[in-house]
Amino acid sequence: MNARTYRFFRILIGGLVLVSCALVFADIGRSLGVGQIRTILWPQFVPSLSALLTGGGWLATGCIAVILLTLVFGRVYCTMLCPLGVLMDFSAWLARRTGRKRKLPYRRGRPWLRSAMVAVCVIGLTAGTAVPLAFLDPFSLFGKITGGTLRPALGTANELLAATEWINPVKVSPVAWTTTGVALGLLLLVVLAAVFRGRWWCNTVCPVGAVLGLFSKHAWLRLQIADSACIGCSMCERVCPAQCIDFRNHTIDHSRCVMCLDCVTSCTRSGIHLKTRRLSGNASGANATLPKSPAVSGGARKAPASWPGHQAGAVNLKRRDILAGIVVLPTAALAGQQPEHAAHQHRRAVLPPGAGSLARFQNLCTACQLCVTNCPDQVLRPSITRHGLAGFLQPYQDFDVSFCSFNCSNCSQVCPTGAISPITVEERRLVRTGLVEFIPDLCIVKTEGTACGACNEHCPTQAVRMVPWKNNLTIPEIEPDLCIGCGGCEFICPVRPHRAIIVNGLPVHERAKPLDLGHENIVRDIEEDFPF
Amino acid sequence: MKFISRRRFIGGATAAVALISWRNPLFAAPGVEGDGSWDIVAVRNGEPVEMFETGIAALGGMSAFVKKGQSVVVKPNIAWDQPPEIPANTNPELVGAIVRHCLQAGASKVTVFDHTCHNWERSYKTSGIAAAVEAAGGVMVPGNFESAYREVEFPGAKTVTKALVHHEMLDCDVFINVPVLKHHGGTKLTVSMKNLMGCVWDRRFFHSNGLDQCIADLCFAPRKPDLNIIDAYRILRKNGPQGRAKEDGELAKYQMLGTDMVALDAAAARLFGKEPTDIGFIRIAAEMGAGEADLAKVKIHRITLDS
Repeated sequence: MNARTYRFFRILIGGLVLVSCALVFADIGRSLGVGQIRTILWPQFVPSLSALLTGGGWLATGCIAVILLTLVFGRVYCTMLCPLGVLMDFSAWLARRTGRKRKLPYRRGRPWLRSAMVAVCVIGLTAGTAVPLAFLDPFSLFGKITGGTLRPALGTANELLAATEWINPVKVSPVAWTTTGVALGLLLLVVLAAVFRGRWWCNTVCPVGAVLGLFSKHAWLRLQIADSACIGCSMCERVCPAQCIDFRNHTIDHSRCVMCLDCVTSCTRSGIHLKTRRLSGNASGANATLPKSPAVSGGARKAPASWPGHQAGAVNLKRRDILAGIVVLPTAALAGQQPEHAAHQHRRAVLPPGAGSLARFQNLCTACQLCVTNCPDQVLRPSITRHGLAGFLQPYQDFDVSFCSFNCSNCSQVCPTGAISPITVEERRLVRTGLVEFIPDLCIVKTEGTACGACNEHCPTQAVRMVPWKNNLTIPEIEPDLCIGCGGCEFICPVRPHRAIIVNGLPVHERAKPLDLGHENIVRDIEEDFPF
Repeated sequence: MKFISRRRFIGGATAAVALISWRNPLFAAPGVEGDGSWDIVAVRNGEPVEMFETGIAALGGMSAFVKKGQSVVVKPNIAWDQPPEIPANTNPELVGAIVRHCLQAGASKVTVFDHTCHNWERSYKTSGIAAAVEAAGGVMVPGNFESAYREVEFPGAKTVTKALVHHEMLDCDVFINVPVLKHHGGTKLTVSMKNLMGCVWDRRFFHSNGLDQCIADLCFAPRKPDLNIIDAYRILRKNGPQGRAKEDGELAKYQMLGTDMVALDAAAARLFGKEPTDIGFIRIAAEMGAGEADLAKVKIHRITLDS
């Protein structure tokens, strides 16, 4: 296979990954099944590694496969399987097509910085928070970006099109401006990084890039510059998005190379080849004995002066723009944040069923937004302030918008990290995520003296039941043992601004009293006469 | 690709034969069985489809309500994600049979919807109603999106003087209300009047502004049901309106058809073991002159099928 064929497959596979991952996170019609979602997620490194660490399963084999792949072919993961990497390549390509061509000179690697990024993630996880990982893992970042931009955009498009009755409307939980602001900020950051610095992100910030770099250093197949062929034209160095080719010394930093093979196609002398480790060792040994052509050394001397882009000053303004973007957008978004209804009434927000406990959940959830997109009831929303700083953008159940179904455990099935551990519908019915609290003095029955019972209507377990009260009326009564914290009562309670019945999240989920769902209907004896 | 099950085929064939055979005496001897002069036709001791076909024949057949080319909306109760054995929703076989009869009477289109309480896709499916309606040739439309609702006035109503109402209900030629008789924690009962809450967008308004009065006000909606068919094949005796266990359901094998919602709800209350005057919305609706709650003044045709 030559480099052009490789390029074709690289773009094809990368494109498929980008589109399928975007679909997973913006699938407002929930057309994908759990099996399809898990297939698309399988090769994603961090979710798979997390699945491996939280109990395994089929999804857990993905990260092992990626490591093996890296040990053989280098970081092809970064160039084909990482949706954020493909997005960066795509934006850089688009910028090259529309704007002036930017040259990316060789830069020395910053292994200490890369290690520090991995260390921050590990320290965070050890300390019980997944927040650093949530904002460094490329898959979760891609989820946050798509979930905060494409998903609400599609939701709005659906609303407009549904009004014309061409298509059926779908329910999309409201997306807070903060969520969209953070997503836009991250998108801007990633796109600018790609446009100005190629794979800078992947080789400086990304912990997956750092980890895979350790393996790709020892990859069986790797790129090699043939000393004999090199005329010192510097083309390979200019096109390398990873800035890892030093054409003067004929070296490639394989820990940073993402195997795009752009250098191979750029080389007019066909001097860059994929070699197996043993062969490459021989080749360089053989080449070393050959005398260098004068053109090589001449090119190497002249080159630096001809690259204005190489000077730090030219980049500085852009870097400032990037930083400004990072700071301004989320801040503006935070300032414009909508107040969350009824929120002040709660002691604690409710986690999805299967989360187990707040401590466990916050240690595992990378806030990728997959459960938010896929919740059939659209009750899950990314938290801005409800989970506190440590739970930024992690999902909570918003009973202003909807409530959690008694017959659904979808979020637990799609969660790629195991933060919401997979449970069956039967198990879900016994998980108490929150506990009901009734405030009689606010209840319609008491304040207005009229019938209501909306909370009882929506309670699947009769943890809220109606008991006789004054004037032939009935009033709610709570049986906490039966409550599963689904929030149906709070969602439907018509009292405003404060509700008469609320569900407080439990920091540690409990087991609700099992219900006998019964066997048969009672059979009525047919009366002698009609009762009317 | 959907196959018609043997049961459905036999059911359909029986229905077709029954319809033809019932139409003949209608023309041969008017004023005997199907003269349509009853306020309520009550049928008992049969299967849902069987009781419906007997009942509708006694009212003159579906062609007495649906003319050729008319659009029909059938509004069952599909509020909950519950299977037919926990009778929180209208019986699916009954809904399917109604759709079939409407199309046989020449309806141009039969649409079925409800503003569900649970997730609408799941409720439509679990209730068995979506499958039954589609097999019969009807169309299911969602009722859970505000864009489908239009504000209309309720002339004569007391509290609900105007409300957002589903456009399918407002725009159809024939509107058929098909509630299921259930216990309700707040209003004690839910029957035909309360079933119309599934055509309204803002239900919280009803709950916070005197639920019984608001339900009675539904009798003054600009679009009234042309026919009400109360499914009491299975009755939800307790833990209503959602139900929790199969034991909450009673296999009662009753069905009531008619146009007066107040009279029908009063009869249903008796069937449930309650006095109509004890049910707030029935009492209020009767006082407002929406219908006759005094069953002594209602012409009831009572039919007991041989089992």
